[in-house]
Amino acid sequence: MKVQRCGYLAKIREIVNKLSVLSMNLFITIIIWVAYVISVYFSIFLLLVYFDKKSIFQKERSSLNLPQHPLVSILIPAYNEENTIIRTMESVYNLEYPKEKMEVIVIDDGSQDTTKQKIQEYIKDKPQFRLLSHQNQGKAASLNRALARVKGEFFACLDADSFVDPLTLTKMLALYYKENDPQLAIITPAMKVYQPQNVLQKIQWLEYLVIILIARISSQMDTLYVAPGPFSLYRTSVIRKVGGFDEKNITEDQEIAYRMQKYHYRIKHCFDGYVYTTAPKDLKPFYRQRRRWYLGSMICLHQYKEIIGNRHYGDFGIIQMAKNVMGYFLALSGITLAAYFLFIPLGRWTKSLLLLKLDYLPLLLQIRFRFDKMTLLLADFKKGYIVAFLFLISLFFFYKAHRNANEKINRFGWIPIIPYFAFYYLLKGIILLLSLVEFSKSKRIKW
Amino acid sequence: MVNQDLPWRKISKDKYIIAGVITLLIFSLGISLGFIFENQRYALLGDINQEQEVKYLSLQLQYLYLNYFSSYNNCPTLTTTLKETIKDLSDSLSEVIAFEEQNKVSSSQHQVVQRRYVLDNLRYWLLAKESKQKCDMNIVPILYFYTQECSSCPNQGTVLSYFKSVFGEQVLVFPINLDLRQEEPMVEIAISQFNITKYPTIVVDNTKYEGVVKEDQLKEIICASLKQSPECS
Repeated sequence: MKVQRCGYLAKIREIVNKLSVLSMNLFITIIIWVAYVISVYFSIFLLLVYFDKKSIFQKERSSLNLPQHPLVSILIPAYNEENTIIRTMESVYNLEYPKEKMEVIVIDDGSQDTTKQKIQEYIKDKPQFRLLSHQNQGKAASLNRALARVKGEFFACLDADSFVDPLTLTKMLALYYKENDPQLAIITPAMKVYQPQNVLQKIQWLEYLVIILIARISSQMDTLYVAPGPFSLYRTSVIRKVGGFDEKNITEDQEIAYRMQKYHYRIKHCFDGYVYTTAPKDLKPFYRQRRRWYLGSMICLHQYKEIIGNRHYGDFGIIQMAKNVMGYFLALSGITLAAYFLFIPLGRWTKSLLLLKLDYLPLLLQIRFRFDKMTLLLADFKKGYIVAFLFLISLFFFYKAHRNANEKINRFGWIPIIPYFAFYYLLKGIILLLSLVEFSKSKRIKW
Repeated sequence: MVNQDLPWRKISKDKYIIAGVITLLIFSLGISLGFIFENQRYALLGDINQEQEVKYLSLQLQYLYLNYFSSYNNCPTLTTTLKETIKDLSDSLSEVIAFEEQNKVSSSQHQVVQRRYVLDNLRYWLLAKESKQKCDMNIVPILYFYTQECSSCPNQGTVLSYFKSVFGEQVLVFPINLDLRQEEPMVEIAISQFNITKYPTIVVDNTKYEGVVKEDQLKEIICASLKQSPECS
């Protein structure tokens, strides 16, 4: 009797086991194919936009001719930036623009280091520079306080860890006059990483170049959704009209862009108006930066969810918002697949090696690299084909991004390119996952 | 604040549709190319199997001949052919089978390939056992039962390939996929003969070892079955 029951139990366990493995396989297969379809669709769409406006992307350069020189205000919020603040102010001082048409407001947001003294020292003999000092309130609040005092028709913000190229302001203003559209409210810069030293910074250098190209393509469709902190040029009247920066948002530069889109204002990208920003050098500050970005973008997406799929908002509502939402799915499925195809086999190998007391040499000797017709036929063609296709598209954009930003691909050697393609996106995906967990936690508390 | 006069913004409908069509084209091209590849693979498999068949016939005949005339001086030829053929079977087909197991497509071709492989392994195992007795061969035939779902089976598989590498052609491993029990009656017969309830299970010299057999234990088992080997001393 007992034996019988054991038999049944074993049978039930076997069935449960089999079912769980089967459903796991089904789950993974579905994720793979859905992720493939989404990635292929959006890549093709991006390619279509690129080829539609190909001549613009290849020939157009920003004009340097301004019909007039309006008063421009530049805000530099600084919090404990004693190492870089001088260089930042210097880059603003060196802008090729009439000094009397410029107003620079440096905001010391209650720094505890020597930032304030350094600013005071620097601006002594420069009448166009002003210092605004107050208790620590955060960046958005600092900007709003300065915004109340701004006299310029346009104003730009420049984070104190970033440095603007001398020609950028002229190029951006030229774009304002060229478009000649009162609805055009923000012009975003082309951000590059400032003097990358180590591999992490060099990878970000590559990433930023690709972002410039993508932003330029998005700009053609009026679907930009970020106005980067370093040197976005705003139309003062519009920003005042919509109530300035959101002081509660952790990424006010994304929130303001979403708000512009919501009220049907336009954002344009100045693809050769360069700003150099200091990228995090170590993993920990990198993690903190990205977590803030991703968390911020989730909050923005949630805040402006009525735009998602809304036909009133045209391409922004339909394709861009869908892309932003799908981005999370792709990142999550990427991690799931990596775990399934990388970590599980890795665990299995470790266990096998432990069983063999780490005597791996005989196993290595057994590996034979055979290459014949059968090896070729055994390659997982249906999946490999899509992966190869997506990889080719990303290589294409990678190459075009370098042409677009006028940089050589191997400027910092070939080495950073390998981790950029191999596991940088996985790293970002993991950070995104952690941010998502945090986001859902904070939501639960609020609701 | 909202600009009511600008309610509808541009939608690049044509691009959405073209992108959709191209995506569809890419996927259908990929899938149809995949099918062509699959057919090619099965065609190639047919060739391999035919070659195997001839080799098996030759072996079987050699064995019959040897039995009938009791001419044991033919043993060295039988030994070499047997070892070569089994190595060949594993070399040419184990990757294919691993591939077939991973990509579960329930096509009839797919099932035939797997059944065929199990049958090949069982008959070579029988032949190896008989030849070992008759010709006093210095080999260890190991029957290895596994399923695709069992999580520790790959570990046992690695341990077995380790010994295949260490002992060379003296250790002959015959993998039997228990998932085929419904499709292939021979698998069911083997299961009930050894009363297999757990996996992985290996059978050496009619003795059953359940669960993952570790390196040192397996070495003992192999060395007990072999008459002599430099690796055992």
